[in-house]
Amino acid sequence: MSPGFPDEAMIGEAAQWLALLQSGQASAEELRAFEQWQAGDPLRAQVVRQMSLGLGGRVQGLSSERLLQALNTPRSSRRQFVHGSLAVAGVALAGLWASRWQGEGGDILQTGTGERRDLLLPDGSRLVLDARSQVAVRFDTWQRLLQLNRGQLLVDVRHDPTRPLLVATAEGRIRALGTRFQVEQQAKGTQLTMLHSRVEVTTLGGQRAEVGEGQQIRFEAQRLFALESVRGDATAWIEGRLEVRDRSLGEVIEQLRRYRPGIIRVSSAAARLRLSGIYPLDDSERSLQLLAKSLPIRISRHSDYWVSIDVP
Amino acid sequence: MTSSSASSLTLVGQMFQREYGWLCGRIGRALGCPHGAQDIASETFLRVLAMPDPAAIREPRALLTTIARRLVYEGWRRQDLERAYFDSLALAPAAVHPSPEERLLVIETLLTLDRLLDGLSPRAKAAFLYHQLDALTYVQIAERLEVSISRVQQYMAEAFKRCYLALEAA
Repeated sequence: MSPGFPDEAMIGEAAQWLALLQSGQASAEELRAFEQWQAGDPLRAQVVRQMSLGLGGRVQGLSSERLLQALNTPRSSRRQFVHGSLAVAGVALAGLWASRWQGEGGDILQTGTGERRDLLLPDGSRLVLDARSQVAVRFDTWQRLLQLNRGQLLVDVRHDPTRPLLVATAEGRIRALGTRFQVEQQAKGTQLTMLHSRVEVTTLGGQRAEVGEGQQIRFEAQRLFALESVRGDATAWIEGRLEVRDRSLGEVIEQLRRYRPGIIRVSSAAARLRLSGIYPLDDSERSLQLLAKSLPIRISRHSDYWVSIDVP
Repeated sequence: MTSSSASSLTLVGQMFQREYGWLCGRIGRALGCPHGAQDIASETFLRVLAMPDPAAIREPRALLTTIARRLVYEGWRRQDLERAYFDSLALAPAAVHPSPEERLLVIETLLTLDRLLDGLSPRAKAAFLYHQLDALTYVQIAERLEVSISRVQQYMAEAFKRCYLALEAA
């Protein structure tokens, strides 16, 4: 670990030792054990030194009782409100703080229903995760690996000729040096959309394809489908919109599911209907209403959490 | 990846021209108060200017929203803390009423403490402040909080750790 930054374990140990030392009750034996621990790594002594400053004279001449009384007031409930209205673009926190976080151990990033996250990866690449998505991040000296377990991601890759960025899905992997693209793990297959520059796709079965800007491709473990050109604004989901041009209702509902708790069942006849339009992802109820207006479908509700779509 | 401060100033200046109106509108709608929104929007751009590498910002609106939201929270927390602290003081005799400068100092202190000790239990906070401010021994703290001495030691370990992490993150 060292030299460098202390890890969580070291910080925890340092805190335990410090709390013991400050008690004034440490035995000679404990003091020796502490010296030994500290001698094991120069970083430990540094952490203890810094930690022992505590509040470091930040508070003077104030009554601790009165301070405590104020500090223990709960956060007001207004924050819920701002969370709703200021966050409509859906760009969840992250950004700033994510840059602190190290990805060596394979961090899992995930989003719930209706939640998007916009993150800065440790190498400076930007990762946007769609709702109901999960990705494991493993960065090391040789490669930057994003394992997409479910859902959809968009990555804006910071160029690094020595360390390719790989996005792995159940069906294959996509290799890039510095570019922008989006990957969706679908129920059966992976959909890749290139937004800038080129990448190379390798399926589990070993087939390869190069995909360039403005192109998209779907692949399964043993099969590469034909290259198509990107239709509509494929990245509108980042802003909370779903833009489709001549897509099947089945595909559209697949996207909408991530934004709606519960079950949406689509009959196969309805799933084949084609449509174009713009739908608000963050208001799935309204999206369903818009669909019902533009298509010959019947939407029946068994409850808020169970919706069926069929052709009458 | 470092940019000279002159070019960051230009970059943030351009961002300001493009996005200031948008940000004001957005905050204003969330708060229902256009004047407060202008203050927060301006402060938001000052924070962006203080960032190490403004050239690396890919999604300015997302960043601005994040910073603005944090400022709004900070503002509210400040109000909460201020009210809690000075309401109790209002009951005290007039001699202890603080001057505006003292008041500001107290609020700054409260905000700092709130950030450093955030996430600790009320007892752990108390143990730490008694130790750091009042220089009480673990035995005295244990008596005051009516807990065991080993419990106090645990509180202290938690607090040292939290405080260290919060200072590192700053």
